Amino acid sequence: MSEFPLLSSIVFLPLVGAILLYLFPGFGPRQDPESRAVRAFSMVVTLITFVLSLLLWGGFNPQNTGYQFVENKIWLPSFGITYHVGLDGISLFLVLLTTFLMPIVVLASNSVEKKVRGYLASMLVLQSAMLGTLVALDMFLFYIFWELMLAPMYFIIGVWGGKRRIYAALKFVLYTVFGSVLMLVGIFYLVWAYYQQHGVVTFGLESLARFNGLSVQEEVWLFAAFALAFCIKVPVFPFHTWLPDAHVEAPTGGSVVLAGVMLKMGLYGLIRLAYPLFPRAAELFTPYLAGLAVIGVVYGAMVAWAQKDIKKLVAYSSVSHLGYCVLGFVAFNTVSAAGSIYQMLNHGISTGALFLLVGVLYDRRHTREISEYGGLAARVPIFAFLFLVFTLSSIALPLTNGFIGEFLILAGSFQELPGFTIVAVAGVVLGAVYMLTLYMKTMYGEIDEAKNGALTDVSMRELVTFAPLLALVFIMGIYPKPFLNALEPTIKNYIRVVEERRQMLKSSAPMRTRQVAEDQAADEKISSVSDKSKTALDALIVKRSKV
Amino acid sequence: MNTLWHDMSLCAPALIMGAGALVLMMLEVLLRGPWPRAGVAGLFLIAALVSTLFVNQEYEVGQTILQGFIYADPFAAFFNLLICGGALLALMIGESYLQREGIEARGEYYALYLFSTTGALLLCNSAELIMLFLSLEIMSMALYCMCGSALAVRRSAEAALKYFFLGSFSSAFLLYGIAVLYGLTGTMQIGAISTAISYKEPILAMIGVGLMIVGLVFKIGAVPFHFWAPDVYDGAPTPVTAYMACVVKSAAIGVSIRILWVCFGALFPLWAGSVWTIALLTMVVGNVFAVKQRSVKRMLAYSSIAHAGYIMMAFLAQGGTYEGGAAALYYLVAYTVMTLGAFAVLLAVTQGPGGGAFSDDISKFNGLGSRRPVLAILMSLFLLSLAGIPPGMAGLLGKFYVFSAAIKSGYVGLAIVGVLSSAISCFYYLRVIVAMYFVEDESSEVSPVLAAPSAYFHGAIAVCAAGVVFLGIFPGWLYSFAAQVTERF
Repeated sequence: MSEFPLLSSIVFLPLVGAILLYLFPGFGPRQDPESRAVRAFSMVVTLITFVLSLLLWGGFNPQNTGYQFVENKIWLPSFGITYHVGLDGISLFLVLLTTFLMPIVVLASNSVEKKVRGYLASMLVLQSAMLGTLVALDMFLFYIFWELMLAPMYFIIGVWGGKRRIYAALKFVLYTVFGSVLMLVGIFYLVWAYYQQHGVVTFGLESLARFNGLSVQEEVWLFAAFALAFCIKVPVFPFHTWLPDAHVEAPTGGSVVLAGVMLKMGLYGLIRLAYPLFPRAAELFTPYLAGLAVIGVVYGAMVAWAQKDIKKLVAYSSVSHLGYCVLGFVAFNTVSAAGSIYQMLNHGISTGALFLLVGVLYDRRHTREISEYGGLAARVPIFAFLFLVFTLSSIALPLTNGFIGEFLILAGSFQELPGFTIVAVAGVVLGAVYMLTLYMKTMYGEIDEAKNGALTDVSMRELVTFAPLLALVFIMGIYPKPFLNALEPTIKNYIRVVEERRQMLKSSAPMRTRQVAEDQAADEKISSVSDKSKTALDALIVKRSKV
Repeated sequence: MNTLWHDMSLCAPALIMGAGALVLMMLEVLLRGPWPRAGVAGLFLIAALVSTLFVNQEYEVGQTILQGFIYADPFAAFFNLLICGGALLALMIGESYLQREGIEARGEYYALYLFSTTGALLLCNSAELIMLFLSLEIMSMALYCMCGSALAVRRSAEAALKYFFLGSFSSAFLLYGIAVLYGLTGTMQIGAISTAISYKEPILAMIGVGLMIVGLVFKIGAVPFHFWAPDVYDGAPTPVTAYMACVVKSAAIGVSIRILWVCFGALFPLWAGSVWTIALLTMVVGNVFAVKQRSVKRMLAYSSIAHAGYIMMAFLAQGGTYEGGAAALYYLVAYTVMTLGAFAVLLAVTQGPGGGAFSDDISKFNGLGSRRPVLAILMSLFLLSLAGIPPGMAGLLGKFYVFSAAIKSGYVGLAIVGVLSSAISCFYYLRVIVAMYFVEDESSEVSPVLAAPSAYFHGAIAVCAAGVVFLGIFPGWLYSFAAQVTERF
């Protein structure tokens, strides 16, 4: 395996970029030419990362259902912790989404006025953390990258955010930390259970996903610990309250990354860790997760409808859309799971674009109140066109990307969870209602000349920002084949593996070995304690006789 | 005679340190006018540190010297290194502060400092309960005086007096415990007690063990024997606080591990419950009370209580690799560098003790991110490490090891409480970051930042930062060293 470590270079290039950015010459006051250089540098770094990640796609073999571009190096030998990264069809597209969105975020950073260097450095660190989370195949590594996402996002919201930024940033961190520390306990429990059975300490995902020593009850508790961390991140319905605050207060770029990539990490965690590790518990939890997801779909949509603030509306629409993704995944058949992952990409693109559009308006008018706008279509036609396209993509009009994802999810889920799916369909209608209402209220009607008469249409730079997103909306809506082709074998295999494992665990005799092993370990402990004192005494006697 | 010389040479770190204290006192009498007291004290600390490196090779498992009064085993070697290193760093960060506040000028401070460190060294090496008690008192007596060394400040005197009274009280507990144990086993040797002690006299054993634990836990500053800590930490001059939070705490934890595991190893079920309770309370109370502090110094005091709780959790998992021993020792090193780093920044940001009741107020940190970017970044690193959030990897790994050990030993409930309380801790650590970066400094008069911290200060803070980063990326060597040290006593 002496190949060029492509995956690692993609993961760590932004981090190196961030460090270089910080050491950039001219530490002094942030003047314009300097921030231009800083922006250019970050742009180059993110573009290189993107190009490298395209190489991943080029080199990716869709028929190979295992992990590709694997790198495996020992990191902490005594704990069996490895630097183990790899890519499969699921993570490939999320990696691509991340690397694709980052240059756009950098491009959109011109609305950031102060401390541009710090902003972009945080963004680059965040990118490394997100990419690392997506490719980590070692639980410890996953956890580190998972937690590394916190600090930069905290700074992005807290330093460059809106009025209530401190509250929002703290809420974001505390919610996420409470979830993930319980996951840490779960990880240890799993690792030591594995150790008791096999006598090996490992955090390797592939080994732990073959472990069969857990009782159903243990699985349920562990699944709950993992699922809580991930559900907070998604966010699934009752854990979503941090999201509107974080979104509203975050700067535009922060919102784009948060909605575009970070929310997906929660579902990705369910896919990568919770389901393969605890398949039986996953089955037991399916109705609950599906129920919460559907509540999220409908509730998110209804709350979005009631919003007066555009950004808050888009934020709640995220709750609704992520509900579909979760539903599609927990329905657990090839069609709906593929749709779920496809929908994650769509949501990243269309909601990311919507946040950018809101940012464009906010930069000009410094308000996000829906009632402040109206009749903009006549004044800013290009903007209105863009808004229309992304709105339609968001409500899943055929020929846009959203349609493919939602259709696959609903079609697939209906076979497995018909009741939940029927309710979720209501969300589709509601989605159209609130998005179109928003469009109507802001773009049509009488224009208030005093307020919006001086609005300028999107600038060239902004157009460049939106162009790739616009193109993807149609490409992914009209010709989804290259994406789905690469996804399908992985997902088929993934579902087969999890199902087989579930059957295997169910059919095997109820596990008693662990209980026995525990008792033995306890006995050994008691005897080892007395052994210890004995050896100490022996050593003492030997010493004394020497003296 | 040869044995004596050999034994003395193995004792070199403590001897050098003690000699240094005497030399400093002597020089104080002989020399008039200012002279580099900190430099001379630092030289002795360095000499002790270097001698530790030399004598470590001869330290063997279970080896006692000087008629069985002193352990010369790898565990002692580890703590010799940690205490000398920690004391050196604490000296370096506090030096310019002490000079500025006129504490150094009165002369006795550094002699006391070396005496206290000598006591800490001997405490971790003592193989005999009387030796243990004496070294504890050497360490504490000097410390009481150091706490009160800011003569002009009433809070400092109050801290010293409070610490002295409560400390004497806890020493009495310890001494009583020693007496009971002696009555029970007929010996003072830690190694001999471990084999002589048994369940034959359960009540007496319980009393002896309990009283010893009270005495030791008081020095660690764990709940419910923590009441002195916030006031004393707050009132003492900040360099003394840093020294107490790191060096003294390390020594107390070291000796506790040895007493609990070696001396009372056979009675594990007898003390497990109380240590479990203390660890739990310490983690929760430390973190919860830290939340509402406005003074960063007081916040760090509560935070150090909480961290002691995490480490005490590891006491329950006897053993080296994968167990509490390696975890606790790793944690101690990580804790020492990150806490000293945080105190160093605190020293640079806040004014002296004369600055009124709110001199350590969190508002002193407002806008530090733009006033002193490097200092603010380092502080963020230390705080994130204390909170256990990457990129503060050293603290994260410390928690990782400790919780891992607890869960492996079956203390899942305790670990859950631990991680939840550690999540609470994010709140108050991050609040300092909020002040540094998120709050614009609105006050027109920019609070004066220490004009030119000395080269010592820069060196120490650089070592702390490098330690946090290095321990976070390459924890393996330290962990295996700590595992090896605690594998067998």
